[in-house]
Amino acid sequence: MSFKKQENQMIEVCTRLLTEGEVDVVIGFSSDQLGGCAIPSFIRKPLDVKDLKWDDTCTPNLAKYVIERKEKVAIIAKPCDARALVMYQIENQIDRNHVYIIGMECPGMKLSDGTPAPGCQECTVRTPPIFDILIEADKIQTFEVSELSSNRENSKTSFVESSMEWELEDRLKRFQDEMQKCILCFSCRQACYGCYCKTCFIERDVPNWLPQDLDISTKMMFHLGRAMHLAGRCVECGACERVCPSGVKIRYLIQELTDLCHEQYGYRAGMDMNETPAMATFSLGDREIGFLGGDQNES
Amino acid sequence: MNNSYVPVKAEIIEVIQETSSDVDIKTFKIKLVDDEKMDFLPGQFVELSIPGVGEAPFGFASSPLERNFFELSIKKTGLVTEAVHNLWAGATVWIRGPFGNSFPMEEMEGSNILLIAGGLGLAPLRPLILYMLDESNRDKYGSIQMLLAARSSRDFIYTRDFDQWKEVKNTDIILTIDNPEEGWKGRVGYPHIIVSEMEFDVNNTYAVLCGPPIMIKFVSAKLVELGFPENRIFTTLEMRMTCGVGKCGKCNIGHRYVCIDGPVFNMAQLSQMPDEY
Amino acid sequence: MSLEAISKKRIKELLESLGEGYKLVAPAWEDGKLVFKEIKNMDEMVISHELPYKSPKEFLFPQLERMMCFDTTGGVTVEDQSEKTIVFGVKPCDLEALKVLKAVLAQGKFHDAWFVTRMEKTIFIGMGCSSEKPGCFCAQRGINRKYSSTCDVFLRDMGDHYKVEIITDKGRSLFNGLDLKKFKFEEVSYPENMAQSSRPTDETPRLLEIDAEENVVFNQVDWDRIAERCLGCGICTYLCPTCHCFAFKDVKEKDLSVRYRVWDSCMYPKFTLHASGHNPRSTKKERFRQRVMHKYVYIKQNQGYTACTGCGRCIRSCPAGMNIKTVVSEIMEVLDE
Repeated sequence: MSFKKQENQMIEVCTRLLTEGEVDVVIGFSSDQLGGCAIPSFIRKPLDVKDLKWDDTCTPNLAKYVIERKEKVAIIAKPCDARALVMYQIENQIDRNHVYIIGMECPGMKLSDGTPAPGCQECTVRTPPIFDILIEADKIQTFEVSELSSNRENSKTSFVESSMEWELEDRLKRFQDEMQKCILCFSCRQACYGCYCKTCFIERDVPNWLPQDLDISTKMMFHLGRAMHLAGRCVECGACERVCPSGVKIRYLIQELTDLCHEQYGYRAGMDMNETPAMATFSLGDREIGFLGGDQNES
Repeated sequence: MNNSYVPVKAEIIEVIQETSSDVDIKTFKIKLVDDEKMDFLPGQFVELSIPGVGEAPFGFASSPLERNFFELSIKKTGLVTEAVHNLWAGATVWIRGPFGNSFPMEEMEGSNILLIAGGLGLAPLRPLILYMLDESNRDKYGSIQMLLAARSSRDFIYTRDFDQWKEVKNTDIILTIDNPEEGWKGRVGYPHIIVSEMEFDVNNTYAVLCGPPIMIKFVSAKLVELGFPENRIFTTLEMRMTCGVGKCGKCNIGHRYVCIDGPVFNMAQLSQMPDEY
Repeated sequence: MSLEAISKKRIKELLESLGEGYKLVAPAWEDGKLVFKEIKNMDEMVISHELPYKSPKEFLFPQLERMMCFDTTGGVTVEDQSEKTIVFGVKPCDLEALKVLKAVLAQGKFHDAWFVTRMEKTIFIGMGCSSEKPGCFCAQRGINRKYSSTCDVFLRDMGDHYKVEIITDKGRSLFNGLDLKKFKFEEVSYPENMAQSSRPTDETPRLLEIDAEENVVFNQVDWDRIAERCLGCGICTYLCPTCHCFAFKDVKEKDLSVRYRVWDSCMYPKFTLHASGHNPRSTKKERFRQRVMHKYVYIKQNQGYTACTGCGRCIRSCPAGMNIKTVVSEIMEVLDE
């Protein structure tokens, strides 16, 4: 019953913050009327704090609701939300003095059907890297082994195997198969903490990166472009895959860049406020490994 | 079936550079192929296509009495307008229209007219001006006063017309620019300021205005303050639109569609509409 | 109206013989999602109470449609890629949505020729729906989930068989020349009041309708708070059976310039962005307000229908838990005060 205990503590903290006027709004989770996953919730009155909840369905990433806000906010932050907030601070998107982070230790969240949410099953970060107050879990119980193994066969959740292990011809085909499903509704972009550009590259007319047609190359351009823009910035929250109405499994692309970044430069986005993001710095010793997998330094 | 999305072929017969400022406006004189006539009313608009680039709406800017050709004044701002600006006489463009409603020329007969235009906002008023100033129509209207505003002296369009217009009896033009300039003989100041210094009989005058949304909002508020009845202040609105025929769902303000219920509205209608333009 | 009955077991056989010369579209599974798709093998077809996650509007109003080609000689060719199509197994919520699409695209002074052509060539075979999914609220939109006459043929579920109701001439033409006996159609007699017994039997909740002047809804509702959760993606509009906004897009293909029509969405900032940079709907508040008011106020005023059939797709698919049903209920509460 670790969730309940955390929830009580969270409600206590939020009530105090609102009552004492330390923040204007608490961004947290509340119940979905349809009985699905918890939904983002904005609490402004101490009396409404009781609507906040904390359980294993608090899957949405809330960080995006913090930017461009003039009020003082408190945010219920899972490790992935907190990693996004670290990135926002590094990228000058938030004023840390206006954001009170209520860090929640998190065992991984589930989808409404009870399976682990994309991103959660392979997540290893259980404690938020940044917080003003940490609400600890008694015992962090991660997913049962059975949940994980049944999940591997479940087509609804992510596969995180590396595409590098696929046959070369297979890679394009599997990529295209996923792209075929995309309807270009841009929910992955809108849900992604990292996609906060005022005008997305694909919405630019000049140059016209993305003709608005549905040709598969158009979809590839969008997803590859987004992956490149998230290289070394992805906080692995899985929102992109979770929100897709068409079940496009495309997180592996960004995941590969994230892994590459970790492998090559020892950098994981959003883990340390004082570390310069890998793609924002350069040293002569950096290896220039790219998409093609070639290692320029060794040639 | 009459297919309202399919354009007809037309040819640019003349290109006129209007402005010498950094706001690049050109007027394109266009005729339909096979000498088809273009019948339109002041206030209406067409959709102009450059195949491979796209389509955009433009208000007519020439006299409705001239049916052999028509003019569109186009400011270089986006993809389509840039492509049009690269065209010269002889080039092919595609046209569909006319669309939309028109200024109430008959309703305004017998009254004085006050025309207020900001920058390119003069373009959709020009068909109305040319219609009213035409010999056959001039006597139907009382005095015609024009307050034409631009950011600078180099931003006025149709300056070649001004002398001719002034010569028509009982017709007056006041030019105003935003900031003082050396040698400038006209007025300086925003149109909503200048208009309050002008003299007119609010009980027997129709005001027609066009310009940037912010100018329309300020000037119309001033006119109402000066005593103009809302149903005698007309303006023409601009909206992003695709189809021009009330289908694509882009240009609505409340339940009204600018493409079919407009683009000409009076202030009585506008003040009933949600503030979203 | 002919009243024929067909055994449920024979429905696939019937469709196979009806389908000659027609493309058959019906619900089928595709990668874990139920969708309307072309059926090439009858075993793929799924007759169930599940609602496909995308609406069948794409068969009248495809997400991408080739409209016309401009060639280098200065000619324009209107393209028509429509095919004679049977869309089978459409539930009343999606059928009622056709009314809205028809009212906007095929009525009034101007017609949308591509939509009209597809409409003429498409036969909708409707079926009742017997279970509500989470998020469904057709009853509150006054829609009878057991029956709709906004289709060409309706199959009424009678337990072990369907009663075939032919509604339009187009629907009748499907059965012309068909040896019904071959398919063992049974002659069944039904009580006279059959057609009237179609109202929903469940207790009828208050209808979700907005009956107020547009400025009142526009100004008196706290749209900032209502839209706060919205992330601004376009899922709701893409999955909605009544959303119909579009853009034209020109693409150069070798020597041709091809004009496509693509779905657009009022949820995107660029939807209303003027070339000047001015944007009348510049934040998600204005955009969300537009979506709700277009459905519940503007179309109702212009065409006479509320453009929401309670199918619940936007609610089920929203990544942020936005719920148009609660939004409209909240608006009604504000207006009641």
